[in-house]
Amino acid sequence: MAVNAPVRLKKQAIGNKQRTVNDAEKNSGLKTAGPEGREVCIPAEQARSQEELLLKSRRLEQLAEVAREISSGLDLAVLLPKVVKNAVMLTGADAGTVALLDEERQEIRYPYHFNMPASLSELTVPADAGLAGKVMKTGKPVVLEDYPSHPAQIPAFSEAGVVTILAVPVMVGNKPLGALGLFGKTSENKFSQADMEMAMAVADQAAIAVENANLFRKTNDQLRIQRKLNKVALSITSGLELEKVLPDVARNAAKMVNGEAAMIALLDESDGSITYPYSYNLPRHLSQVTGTAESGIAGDVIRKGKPRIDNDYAASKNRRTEFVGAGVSAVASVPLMIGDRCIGAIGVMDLGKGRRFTEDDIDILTLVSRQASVAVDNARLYNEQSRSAQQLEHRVRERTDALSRMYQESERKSDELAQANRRLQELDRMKSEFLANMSHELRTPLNSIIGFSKLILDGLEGDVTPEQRQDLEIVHNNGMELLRLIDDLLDLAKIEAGRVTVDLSTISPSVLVEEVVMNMRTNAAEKGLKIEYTIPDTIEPVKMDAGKVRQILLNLVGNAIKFTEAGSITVSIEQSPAESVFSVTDTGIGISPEQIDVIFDRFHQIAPGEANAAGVGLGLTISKRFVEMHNGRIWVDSEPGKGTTFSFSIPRGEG
Amino acid sequence: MAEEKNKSILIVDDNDDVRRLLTKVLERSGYRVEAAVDGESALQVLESFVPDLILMDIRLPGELDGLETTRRIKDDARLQRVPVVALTASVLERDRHLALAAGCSGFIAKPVDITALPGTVEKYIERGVTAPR
Repeated sequence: MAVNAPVRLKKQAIGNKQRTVNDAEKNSGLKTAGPEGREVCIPAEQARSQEELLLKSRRLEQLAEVAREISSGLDLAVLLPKVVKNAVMLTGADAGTVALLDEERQEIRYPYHFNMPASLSELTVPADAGLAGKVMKTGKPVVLEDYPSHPAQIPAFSEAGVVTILAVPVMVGNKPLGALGLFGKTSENKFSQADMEMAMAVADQAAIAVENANLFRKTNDQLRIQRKLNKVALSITSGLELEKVLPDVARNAAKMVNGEAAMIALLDESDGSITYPYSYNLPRHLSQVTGTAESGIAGDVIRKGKPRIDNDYAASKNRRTEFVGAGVSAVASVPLMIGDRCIGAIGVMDLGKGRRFTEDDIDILTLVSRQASVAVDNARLYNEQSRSAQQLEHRVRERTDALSRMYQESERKSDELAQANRRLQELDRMKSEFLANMSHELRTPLNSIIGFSKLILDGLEGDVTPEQRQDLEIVHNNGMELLRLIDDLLDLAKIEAGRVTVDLSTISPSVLVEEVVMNMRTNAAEKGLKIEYTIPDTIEPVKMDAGKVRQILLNLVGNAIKFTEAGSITVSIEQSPAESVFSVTDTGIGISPEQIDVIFDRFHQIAPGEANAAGVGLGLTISKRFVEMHNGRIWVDSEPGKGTTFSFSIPRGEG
Repeated sequence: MAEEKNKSILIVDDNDDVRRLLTKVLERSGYRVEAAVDGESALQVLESFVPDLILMDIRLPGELDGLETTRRIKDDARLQRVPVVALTASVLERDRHLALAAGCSGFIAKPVDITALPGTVEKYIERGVTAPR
């Protein structure tokens, strides 16, 4: 056989070509179609992403335009018959064919041939059968001189009269695409080494053609996918609500890989449950199905973050009866990722049509998933944002409500307070009224008791015996005591109501003390008591309300006389730079420690049955109030049986 | 007993005890004493009798209380120079002011200190009405 066509292509060149194509792919963005990494849900960023997608889409369309222009050179149906014919001519063979590997189905077909029965086009054999399978597997040519007796012979060829054979692999790099077969129909038509070399060169040519054609087809496919993806991307980046986005994603995913149905599974990260809220071409009730990450295909995909193909769904141990019942026969599943987090899965399904999903489908679905993930993430962020905006709004509203409630409450309380205040004022008025009335009502009988007893004591009704005088004095004194109590009660009521003010003037305390002692001398003398005062020569004037200090002293001296049976009463003054201290000392019965504690608060703590304190009345309470009005203090030192000293201080400088 | 003073005093008080007590005390001191139980009867008595002093209770029964009765007296040219002294168990500041505003020349609180009363009465009679209305 003559070698007259020194066409030779180096494998190197093929590799270069391939790499070039890959670069082109990369540059065109085919493999990076989906946005890489996580998109930020900021409107400006979204706008930018959408612009990029549109740009890529336009570039791909341009590329496709170029591809269409050279489509004649890439059309295998035109190219490969020529290749076969050339090879037959070049090697002096009787007939020839190109066997092509269908990777997806793992079958070998013989669509293009020369000088062979037309029925050969219909023949399919398993990928590992026949000579074609063998040369593809080994990557080495095979020459046979008695084909029909070879164990790997295929009857169709033998019957077509094939006796000798030269088979060379059609390879790109290490990847088999098919095989070129050249046949001699007589045992004399044998193939030489030169024929083999020629055939290999032609096979290389065929490989280029097939690869180019594949690439073209893939490019077209990718373009188609990209367009769909862009549509999905545009719709999902503009429509932020999951309810709108995910059904589209499901439908698009199904269409991209020619699946019949699809569904989206979402992981609820709070409890690990899985739901199937969105589906395409599946019974509606499946959206009610709930699973866990430990079961089902979606659970497996989500847990592992890896795609999987289940071309016999009913036999899968991960099958769900609901889906089997819905007719699902095969599933291609990919995870729905956000960054490193797997939030769900996309599953595309075949419903009994015998579709078998491939890695290519997974690649496409991965792209769909990547864009859907971004959309889901965006939607989540959007929802979170609007939710937190709503929450903020809600909180603001709550606070506003709370404030207005507080305002109403405070208004109500203010009203209540005003009302309570009015009630208190009314009560106070009623109390004053009551006291005034009581005072009036008590004074009228006292007028008779005191007046008539005094009338008799003064001898206006004639002589009285000493015995009668003593009895009448008791009546008279008790009447006076009652009168003093009434006066004190009125005074105290006035003080409590804040109607008493101090009227300050600077006067000599010694004059005041002398006056009081003079006033009380008669009373003391009646009981045989001595009353005196001790005032230092250096005494200085004191700023005070003289009327009130006089009243205090009169009260203290009066008490001292009352509770002293023998001895003396001494009124004294001492001055320090800070204060003037007035003291009234008696030699009386004294006061027990328990009584000392409450003696100034008789008005508030009237203890029934305290005989010893009887007769003190309200004088001390009033005295204490008056002293406090001078910012001073009042206290008592007493030893039962020996005597008592009441003291009070008036601060100097202020008073 | 004290000598005849030739001075007369009208006591206006609804309380029998008060009238009895004051009458005794003042008569013992030489005063001629008339008494009335309310405002109307007081004014009636005054139609035929002009005393040297009137001791007027403030809380009186009937249409006229002590204040109004005092005002009527002070509005009467024939009586306006007679000192009216309030003699009352209403001892608050307010009561004192009201009494003085009505035309009283003085104010004596009940219970009355009967020992001091004759002197007090004498003082008011001597002083007369310093500021007639």
